Amino acid sequence: MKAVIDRFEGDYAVLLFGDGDLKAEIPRVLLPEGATEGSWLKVSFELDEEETLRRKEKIGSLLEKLKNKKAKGSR
Amino acid sequence: MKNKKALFGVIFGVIFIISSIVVYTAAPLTVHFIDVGQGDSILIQLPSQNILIDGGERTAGPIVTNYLRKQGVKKLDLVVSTHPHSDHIGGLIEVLKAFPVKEVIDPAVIHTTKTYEEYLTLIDQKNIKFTEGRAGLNRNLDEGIIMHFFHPTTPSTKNLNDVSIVAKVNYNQVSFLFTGDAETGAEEEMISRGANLRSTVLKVGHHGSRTSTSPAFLGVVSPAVAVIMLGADNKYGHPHPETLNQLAAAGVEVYRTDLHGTIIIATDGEKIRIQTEKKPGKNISKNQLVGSKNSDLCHLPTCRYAKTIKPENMVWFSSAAEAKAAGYKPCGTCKPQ
Repeated sequence: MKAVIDRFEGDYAVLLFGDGDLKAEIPRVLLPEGATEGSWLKVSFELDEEETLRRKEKIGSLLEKLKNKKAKGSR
Repeated sequence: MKNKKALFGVIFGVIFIISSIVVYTAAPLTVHFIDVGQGDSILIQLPSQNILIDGGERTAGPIVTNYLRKQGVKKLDLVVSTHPHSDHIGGLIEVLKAFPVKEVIDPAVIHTTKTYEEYLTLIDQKNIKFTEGRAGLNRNLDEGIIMHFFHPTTPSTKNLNDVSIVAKVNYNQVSFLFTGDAETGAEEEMISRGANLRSTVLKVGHHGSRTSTSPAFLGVVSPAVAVIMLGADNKYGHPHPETLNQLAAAGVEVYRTDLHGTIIIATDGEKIRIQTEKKPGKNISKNQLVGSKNSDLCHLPTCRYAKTIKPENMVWFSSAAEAKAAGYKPCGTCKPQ
């Protein structure tokens, strides 16, 4: 997927996708160095199944821990 | 014979009344600051000519074309694209498709977006006269009204806002200055070139951003009225409090498309008449209430007490609740809610 930096507005870059009808404001700090008005970007999102699973397990065990905890001080 | 004379008298009288109504209602110069959300689109109507400056975002295209049709526009004598950012040229694609256009004036600097390419391709396909907008260019319009171009001279693509075409439309005692998104760099250049910037109405540069409307520029333009074109939902904090403070300190009457909707300013060359689509005050939006560091009252910017606050002491709020949370009570005169 490609996008172009139409302009900068303060801390944001305004990116145009497709024919220019899809617009997204991206914090400037996320952009590669040297990006200027008119720079084209290769944009891709990749599903990270491994990370998703790892986070699910971590949050799941944290929830379990909290549920099984004997309430102390709030009787 | 007598009857004929009386009839003639009646007809003459009717014609006289109709013509005086037309003269009264149809000002020779009417400028419509069209509410396109975050972006600019301005229609200048003259007795036999229509000029459009910018067309808002691509999504605003239908808003602009519908508005132009409602105003009876059938053709555009001139389209000025101040600079190639999408919130200024996007909607022009729809406009170029919908209306015959005689001439486009554009800064003609490279921008690599598909939006700009599509707009240029349409101008090419429709064989529309394309003129590089440069300082020194003039267009003579109806009624001896002249459009002067003050900027750019030698545009650089480093900051596209500063390539903005700046133009003034002058009609006897009344003038309008259109600045696109020109920032302080462009403002300084124009001042140093001695451009005749003094104007009755200023279209505030870059949607009320702090990047524009320096005190020096405001001093030279010395407007009575300022129009800020922006969307209430913008993420950039427009209008910036610094700009509002400058305008308030200079005693300029401010109109905003995010609060007033479409703003129409008509003139006979001496006086101006301002009409707005909405009356602000009911739906409080960003930076609409002002208080002083030295008191605990907050006001609408139009309140006579708001005008007595020194700019360095101004504190701006987005809502009455926000003001209240900061310890400010609503003023009893303007009663902000």
